Amino acid sequence: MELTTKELSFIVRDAYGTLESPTLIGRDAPGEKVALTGNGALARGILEAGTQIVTFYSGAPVNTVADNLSFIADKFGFYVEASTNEKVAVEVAAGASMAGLRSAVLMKDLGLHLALDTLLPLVFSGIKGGMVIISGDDPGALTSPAEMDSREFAQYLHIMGFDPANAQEAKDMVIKAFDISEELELPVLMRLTAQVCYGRGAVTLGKISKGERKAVFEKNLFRWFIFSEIGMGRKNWLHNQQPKLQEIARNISFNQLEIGQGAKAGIIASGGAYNYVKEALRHFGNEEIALLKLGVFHPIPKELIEPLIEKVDRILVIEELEPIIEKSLLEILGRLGKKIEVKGKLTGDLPEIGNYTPDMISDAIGNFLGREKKAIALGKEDVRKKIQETIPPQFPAFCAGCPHMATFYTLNQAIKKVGGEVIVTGDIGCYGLGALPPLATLDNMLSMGASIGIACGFSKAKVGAKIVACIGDSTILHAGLPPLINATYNRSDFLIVVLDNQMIAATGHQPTPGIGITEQGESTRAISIEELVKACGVDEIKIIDPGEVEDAIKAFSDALRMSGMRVIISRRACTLVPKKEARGKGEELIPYHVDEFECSGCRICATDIGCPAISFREKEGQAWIDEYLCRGCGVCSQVCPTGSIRRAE
Amino acid sequence: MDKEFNMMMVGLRAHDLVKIAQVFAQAAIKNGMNVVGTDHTFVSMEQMVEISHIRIGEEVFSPLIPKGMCDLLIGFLPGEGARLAAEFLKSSGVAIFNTREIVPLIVMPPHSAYPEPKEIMDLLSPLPGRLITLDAYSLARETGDKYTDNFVMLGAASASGVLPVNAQSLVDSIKELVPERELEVSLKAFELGQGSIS
Repeated sequence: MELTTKELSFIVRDAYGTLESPTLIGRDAPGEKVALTGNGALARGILEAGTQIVTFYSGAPVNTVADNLSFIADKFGFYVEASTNEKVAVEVAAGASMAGLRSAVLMKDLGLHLALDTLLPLVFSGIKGGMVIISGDDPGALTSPAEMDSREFAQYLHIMGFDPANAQEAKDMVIKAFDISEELELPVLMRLTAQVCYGRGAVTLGKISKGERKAVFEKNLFRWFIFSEIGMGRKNWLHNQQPKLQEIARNISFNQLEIGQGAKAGIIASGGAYNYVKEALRHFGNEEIALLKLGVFHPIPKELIEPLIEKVDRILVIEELEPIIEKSLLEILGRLGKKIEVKGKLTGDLPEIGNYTPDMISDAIGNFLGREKKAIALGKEDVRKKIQETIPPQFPAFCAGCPHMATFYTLNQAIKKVGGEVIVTGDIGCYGLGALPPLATLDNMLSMGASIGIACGFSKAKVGAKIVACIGDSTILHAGLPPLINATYNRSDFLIVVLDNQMIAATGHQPTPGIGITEQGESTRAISIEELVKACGVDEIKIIDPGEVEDAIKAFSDALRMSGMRVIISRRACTLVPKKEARGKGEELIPYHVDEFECSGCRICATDIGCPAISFREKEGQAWIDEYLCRGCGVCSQVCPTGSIRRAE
Repeated sequence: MDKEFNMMMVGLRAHDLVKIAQVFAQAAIKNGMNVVGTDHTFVSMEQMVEISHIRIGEEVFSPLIPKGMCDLLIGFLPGEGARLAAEFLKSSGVAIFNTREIVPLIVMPPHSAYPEPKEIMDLLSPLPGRLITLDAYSLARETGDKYTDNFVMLGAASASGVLPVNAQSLVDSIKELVPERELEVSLKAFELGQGSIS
């Protein structure tokens, strides 16, 4: 069975993304309740709001929102784009909104930094069609280099900030956000925490609204030319808009105050943390609590706080990441001259870093109320202890057959062969796992594109070691070209390895400009990384297949011995592509196996490559390949000194 | 159904338990129940541990199950399943475990070796009210598509009788959500899972 580009694109995308069924997202059945994640509900909200342009740079935890829309975009006549980076994504969406269309732009929290360069002047000019900026925060940095709080940027940009608590609210809020954005002529920032993005719940479908506006850009230099005096004039306009934001926040239904019969203490909760509060109050009861839920975290009008402090003189603030609401509350209370005891992160009653859990919040509320904590009914303590002591945790590893693994294995072998000290800088992507044993190739990770920039610094500082920068195919196109130009123009001396797995693998297999397929699965002109690198001034360029072990080791060894800027593009598609493609065609990849008579028990395959499909069985004294995981890439068979690893018959 | 039902699943991303979380949640909603839940999704990397929470009941809010509140624990990995059972499973809870372990590539000190599945099951036996084990992978193999072990486990969970939705609702939900090309093998796997529980 042959697959079209579009079918293949969908099948690959469905590889462990939290893709909802397109039949649910695009279902024309107003009033029906369906199970959606927060990301699925956002996608549906974007559809119901009549959005015509959706742009994003993929990043967890909002990685699957746009993917949920890409495959129904044709049917409903809107456009979805995987943009080159977050700044570009914002610009594309802003352009559409300046011309009167509704646009949504999605990114992860860290990408918002990059986008800020455009967002700051954008709030001076404002927009025409509704524009919603959706940023995914990752408390605990479960899928991110670092944790950060997007909410501070809503304050900084003087725009409204929404923080939904669950899937239904994510959908309702995004629709409302479009209306408000149009009313204010300003973008609205929606931040979602990972638990809300991936949180599943019943969502009532509304009416799908097909966006049918015709884009018209009305020229007006005094609005759109943000520079000096005009910019200052528009900044003045932005400040004059602020009372309107306050007015909306005062009356919006996403902020709600529930006052218990005998309310003695107050709780303010926002976003996903609100669910944990509600859960805890099942145990502690609502009677003595006045609970203010803030769906809008910026602005917070004093009128919302006043009815609360009429009832209580102690408030616990429960919000994930930075103490933003807590600080806003202190500021309001200070101005009102009210003496209210405020507990939260700043008082050490709740942690300032990491993600919250229902048990943590239950304990915090118990402490705040001076009440007995909720007893946890668990099995025998000694059994639990024994289990934790006996079972080692799973250890992060590359997927079986990952081409990055082969790149790092062969690079390691070349480094050993050439000798001398080598520093290897890393970048953002699946290949970050290359820092972990057994490969342990990478020495750092910082931010998108920084592998090359930091390597420039090492080179100019003359660190006295050979320098290698490892960067992915999507990452080099996202933020790697400016530091590359910097490196060649300023005559740095290091090797760049482009780990080209032909897609954005980590966040769910979105296409990169390198492969010639758009987000909606259409064919387009592929952007050649080798031509780009050449144009950036690199003469020594070699393209290798890391699955050809001997050739790859030779190429890396040669490149390590050279000086000046040189680039090796290590190209092989992500291992999940052949897996998913074969499954889509109803075929099966043939795994490898270890010949029990020939295996010498040297362990090289099990310890040097880092493939999770290979383990060493001590009892038998032999290596063993798990056929459930093996993709048949054949790297181990090339590494085995006795030739005892072969394709299964 | 009791006032509340809490189900947890743990496996690697490779087990694709998100898919059966979707199927189960949709079936519950079709039956007029309130559902919350979440998947601790570690992006696409197959070897990452994934934990899925699903909660059903009028009064459930937190998508994460509080400790000691889990009614049914489905462990695609016996070791990780046991770890969660120790923290989350109710003393009356049911655990359904796949017997086939995927041993971590590296065992970090102070641990020295990964225990055999038999040893894990023995450790676990004093904990839950009921422990059901099956070789989901071998059953999935019988469908002709080895990656259907997730539906085998869902079938077993259904046959265990503890789910608040019946088998037909789950089958309907599979038909509603699973793409055409994977539908037949998924339904077959579900049946095989059901049949494995006596």
